[in-house]
Amino acid sequence: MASRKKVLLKVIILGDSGVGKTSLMNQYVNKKFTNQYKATIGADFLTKEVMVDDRLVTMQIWDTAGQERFQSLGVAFYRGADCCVLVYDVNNAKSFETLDSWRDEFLIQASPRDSDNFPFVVLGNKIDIEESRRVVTQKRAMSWCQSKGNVPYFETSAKEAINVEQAFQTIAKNALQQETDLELYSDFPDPIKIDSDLNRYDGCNC
Amino acid sequence: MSHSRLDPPRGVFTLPTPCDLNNAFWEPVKTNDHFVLQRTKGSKNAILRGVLGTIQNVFDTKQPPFRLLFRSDVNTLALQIAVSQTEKGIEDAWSWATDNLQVGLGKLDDPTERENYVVTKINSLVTRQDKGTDEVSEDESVRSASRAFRQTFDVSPTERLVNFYSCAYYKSITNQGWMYISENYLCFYSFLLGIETKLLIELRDIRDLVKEKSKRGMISDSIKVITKDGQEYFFTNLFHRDETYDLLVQLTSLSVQRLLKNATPESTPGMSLYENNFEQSTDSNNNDKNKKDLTISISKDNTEDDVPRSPMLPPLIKGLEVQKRDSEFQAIFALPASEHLVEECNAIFSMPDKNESHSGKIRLSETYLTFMSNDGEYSLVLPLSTIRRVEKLQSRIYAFALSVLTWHQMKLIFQLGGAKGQSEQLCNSLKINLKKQVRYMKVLKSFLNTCYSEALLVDPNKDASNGGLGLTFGFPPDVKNRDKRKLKLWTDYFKDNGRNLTLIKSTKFAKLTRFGLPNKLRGEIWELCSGAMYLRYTNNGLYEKLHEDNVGKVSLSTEEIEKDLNRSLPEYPAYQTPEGIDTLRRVLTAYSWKDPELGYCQAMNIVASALLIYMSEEQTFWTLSILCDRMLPGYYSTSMYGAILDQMIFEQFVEKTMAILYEHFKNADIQLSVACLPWFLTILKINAKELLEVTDDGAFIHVLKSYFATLDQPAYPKSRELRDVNKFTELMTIAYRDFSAITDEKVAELRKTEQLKVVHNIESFTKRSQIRNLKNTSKFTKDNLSIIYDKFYTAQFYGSQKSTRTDSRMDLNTFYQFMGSVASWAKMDDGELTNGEDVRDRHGRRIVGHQFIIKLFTHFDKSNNGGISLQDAVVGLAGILFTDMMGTIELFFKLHDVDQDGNLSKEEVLQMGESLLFICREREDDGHLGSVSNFIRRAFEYADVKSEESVFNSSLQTPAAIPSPTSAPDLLLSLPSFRMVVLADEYLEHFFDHGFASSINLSEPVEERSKGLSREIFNALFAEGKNLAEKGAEESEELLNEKMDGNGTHDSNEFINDRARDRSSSIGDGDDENLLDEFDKLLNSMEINVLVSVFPVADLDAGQSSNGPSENEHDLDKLLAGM
Ligand SMILES: Nc1nc2c(ncn2[C@@H]2O[C@H](COP(=O)(O)OP(=O)(O)OP(=O)(O)O)[C@@H](O)[C@H]2O)c(=O)[nH]1
Ligand SMILES: [Mg+2]
Repeated sequence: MASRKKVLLKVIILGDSGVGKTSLMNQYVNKKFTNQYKATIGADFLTKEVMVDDRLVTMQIWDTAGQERFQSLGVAFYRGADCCVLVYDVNNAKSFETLDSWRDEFLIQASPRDSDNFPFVVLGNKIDIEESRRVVTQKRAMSWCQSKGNVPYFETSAKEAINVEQAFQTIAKNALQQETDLELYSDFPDPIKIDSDLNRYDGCNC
Repeated sequence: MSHSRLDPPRGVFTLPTPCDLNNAFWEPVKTNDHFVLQRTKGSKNAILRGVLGTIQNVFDTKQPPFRLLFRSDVNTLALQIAVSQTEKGIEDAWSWATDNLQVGLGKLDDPTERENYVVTKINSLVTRQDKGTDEVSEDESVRSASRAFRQTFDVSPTERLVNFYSCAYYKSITNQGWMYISENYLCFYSFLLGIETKLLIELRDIRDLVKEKSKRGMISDSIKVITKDGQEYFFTNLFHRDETYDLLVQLTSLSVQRLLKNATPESTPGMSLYENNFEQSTDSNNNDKNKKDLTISISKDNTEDDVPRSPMLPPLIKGLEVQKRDSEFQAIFALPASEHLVEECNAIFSMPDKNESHSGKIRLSETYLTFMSNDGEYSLVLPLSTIRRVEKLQSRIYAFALSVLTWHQMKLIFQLGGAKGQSEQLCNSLKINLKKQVRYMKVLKSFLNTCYSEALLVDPNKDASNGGLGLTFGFPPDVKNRDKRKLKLWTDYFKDNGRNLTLIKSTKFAKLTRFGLPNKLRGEIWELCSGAMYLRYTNNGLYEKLHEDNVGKVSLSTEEIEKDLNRSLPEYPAYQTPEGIDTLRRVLTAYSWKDPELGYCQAMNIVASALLIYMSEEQTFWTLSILCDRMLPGYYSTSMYGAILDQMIFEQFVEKTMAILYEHFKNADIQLSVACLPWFLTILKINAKELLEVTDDGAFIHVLKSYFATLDQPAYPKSRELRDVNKFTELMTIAYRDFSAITDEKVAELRKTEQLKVVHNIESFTKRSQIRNLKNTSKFTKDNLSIIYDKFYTAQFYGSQKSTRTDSRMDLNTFYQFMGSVASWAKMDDGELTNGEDVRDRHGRRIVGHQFIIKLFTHFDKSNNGGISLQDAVVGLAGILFTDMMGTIELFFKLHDVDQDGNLSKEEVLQMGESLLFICREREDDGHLGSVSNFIRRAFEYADVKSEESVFNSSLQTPAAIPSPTSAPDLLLSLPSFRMVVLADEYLEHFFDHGFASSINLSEPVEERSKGLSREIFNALFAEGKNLAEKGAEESEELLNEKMDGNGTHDSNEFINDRARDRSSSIGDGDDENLLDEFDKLLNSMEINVLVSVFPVADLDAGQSSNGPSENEHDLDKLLAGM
């Protein structure tokens, strides 16, 4: 690596409404789970500094609204993403079936340089809920991931903090890989220092 | 035979218009006692014609080169009764006129009577032919322009011309000509020195409209039009540039509304999942939202709704003006969309016990009386039902004054300043409208009981009986705790200025509002200012009814709502209790039932949960309605176009008011849209310094977020005297001070023009996602689907003006259009589809067998709810395209087996015959006639055998084919027999094997809108077809005469002839139709047995061989290739 610049990684979380995107992001960044989060309107983001392969990187995690109609709202911030996280709820079959269209739409809107090798990570969330309610099997999810070019797959619980840390480590790693690939093409502008104290702000009531 | 049996030629007759008989530009072609046929001088001489054309072109709407005049003896003027572009056309008019009018004229001696006779005849003819078009407009100039427009451009006969302007189209050189603006098109035509310039732009394709200066010089008389494919068109020399521009903006925005309606995803999220009827229980007067604005309503006197409309229409432009005026009126006073401005008059307003007066305007609508001062600072809206008494007073200055006593015992004096007649008229309308208020007066008292202001004036300590959750769970604390003081101020204001429904808004009202609302009154003032109060008042009981009607129902929206109830305002105590959650649920679900197309959008839960703290459920419901429909139109729709639109407008404002910041954002490629939804200009301004340092989207949001987090902190911590000013106060001050120029009206105006850009982006997104969501797409490629999508929505777009459906499914009429765009045999003139019974083609010929399309419609409509969705269309077309011969045969069998008994009855076989004739009707020769007639003959034969012995059935075993005892004498043809009959004929075999499937054309539509050269060819074809038709008619007439002589035998050959004649001749006057009816009856009542036995088999075979099957086949291929 030529330069040891501090790197900004842009991660987008997508998936149907209610699958737990906001909860996952907060569990990872703030290490807590509450059911006091509001439904996400438009988009929001948090940042976190992490060490990946001895490098300090800033992850900018974008949480999006899951309701279908928000997709037409311009997804300008997809541009320049380094990794896309697809989340579904293992207790909700429809949320799994829509992964395809989330993925397609992301590739169209973000139009990454190499869409065949763009890093995705799939999370099956809410595995803490009793087994009898589960409708999407691990096998089914894995085979989908396989068919999309061996996408890494994790089963998580934002509530019980299961696998969240591991999943995001992989996300960061793959994003960084993508980012360094990109550096070969262009000079990335100087990253901005972001004060992470303000991250906890969660929207206004206006 | 005589010509009088023929329909008058279409599209040539004009309403009789006086003109000079001896005009230098015209020369006679032929004359008789009453009529003169003229052509423009030098219509043979190209150069002269060019020059003349140019002159005519510049000074008037271009006159067609031929015209027919009636020589009136009353004065030297003649009456123009027909015009035409072609000699043929005018000759037809001549023949018709001489054949049909000459005799009548001969019987009249008095020249005035003769003139009347002609005028009446021609008038009724034109009115009959052009029902609903502008040829019958009251306005003479609109009439002739409309005719010219229609003759020049190939648009639907029902397309209405809105206005026309002299202008020049600039394209390397300037072409002086005429701009025609119709409901759906912007057209330009010029004819200069022999060169014709023709331009037709679909309004729905326009992406941008820009006012421009002329290319040379500084005159602001030009408009630039940019279409979605990036084409630019420059129109200049527009004398009424601004008017033209406004009109275009208005019309394009109507078409965008329709586009958006179509661009919404197919599902209606708020519709119950377990019910397929689309009738809504809430069709009461407020539910016209979806319909409103989508069509241009003709101005009407609201007092006589049910008077039938006269055939003379007011020019469409008037309708548009009225529509515009009404919506401005509604916007100023926050009135429901059902209100129309009825009267308007200058007035001076005063109150006897107050020492002030305001001059302004008094306005009257169906349900309200309003006043607004000229400076806009003093206004009132009075529901007529709150008026206790009206008196006419003598006025010192003006004609008279009105004294109005309101429910709250306030006396309002209006000195009417208009002309005497105007004031009188206002009084009269007021009187009439007051009488219609009974139903509101009945609920007035109970309604007022739900307004806290009433209780407040009786006893300030009394609590509201009707209010928000805050009454129980507490209001968010006011730091300074000025609630008591505020309440006192408002009580005083109410005493002097009325309250709730009768409140007068003065400058003091604005000040009090800015000072802050007391918690208990907040809901009511919100409701009043937004106009929600008027909706609640005039839709008494609707909220409860919505719940009653939809109790227990589940929809996509109710599921989404359920998911979000706990994610709305979880920190507020009420929403931690089941009661609080239930309140929120009730409001949101009620809304999703009221507007199932919008259903539920995330964010509505947050808005509603906040409103509910201050308002009752019902108040919240109506305020939410106002918010979704009027204040943030389209924000929450399934495409969220409103939000996208406002983002764009916001960016424009930033560019205009803070250029440096804007430049910076642009250079750093920061999308304002990422964050602008909840933030406004002021915030950017305050934070400009920090923002200028920002270089990516994330950091951009970050600056804004930290700003919001500190809103309650002092803005100037270091300053002593400004210590009290927190950031929020600062925000308000700057907003009012620096951005006062940005008004609601300005935003509304921009929304209209900007939406053109937005809609096309939305469309492409919706298209992608809809195509992706299609199931069972069979062998269709992505391109195929894309074309089906386009054709589907194009038909929807032009059909939705007339469609009665509120969802995105197609009704039958629109389906006709859709099929017409995918298969040439289905293409018909849409103007004539009104009753579905008698369909005629462009040349006025009746089309037989078009009911085939109705059968297809029913077949496509899988879910059986009277509408075709895109999914239905895709599956339906796949069923035609991707099947083998047996499949197609079965399809046809099923389509015609109306009673689904597994057999075709006699009537069903005949319909099959008609269908086949219909599909093949564009053929040039009559080869298919033999095959179809063969088919019917064989069908009858086999069916006959079968019903007696079931020979074929036993071998081919169809259990369903057992005839029921009652229908025993009737013909019954089973599927296997049908198959056999069909396969016996080579022509039909080809038809079912691939002919039918390949008649479906899924390539891009050819641009065929502007009639150019093609029109010439078309005319030639028409002339030829007509000759054929006449010959055919002659022949069949002979046959018919033979029949009528009474030998009583009929055969299927005649059936064919009969249909063939229908198809090819221009028949249609009353007598002839009777004859046909007669014939049909005969045909239907005849005995099958008789028919089969008398049938001249040999003759038919002979006829068949002369045509030769191989020739048929050849022709079929030719035919299909041409499709
Ligand atoms: N049991 C359980 N519940 C969870 C888990 N993650 C999220 N939830 C709950 O699921 C609901 C939705 O979670 P959110 O994080 O708001 O969902 P989202 O994907 O952000 O939804 P949108 O913002 O609408 O797109 C909330 O009630 C959470 O408390 C989990 O791992 N286990
Ligand atoms: Mg969320």
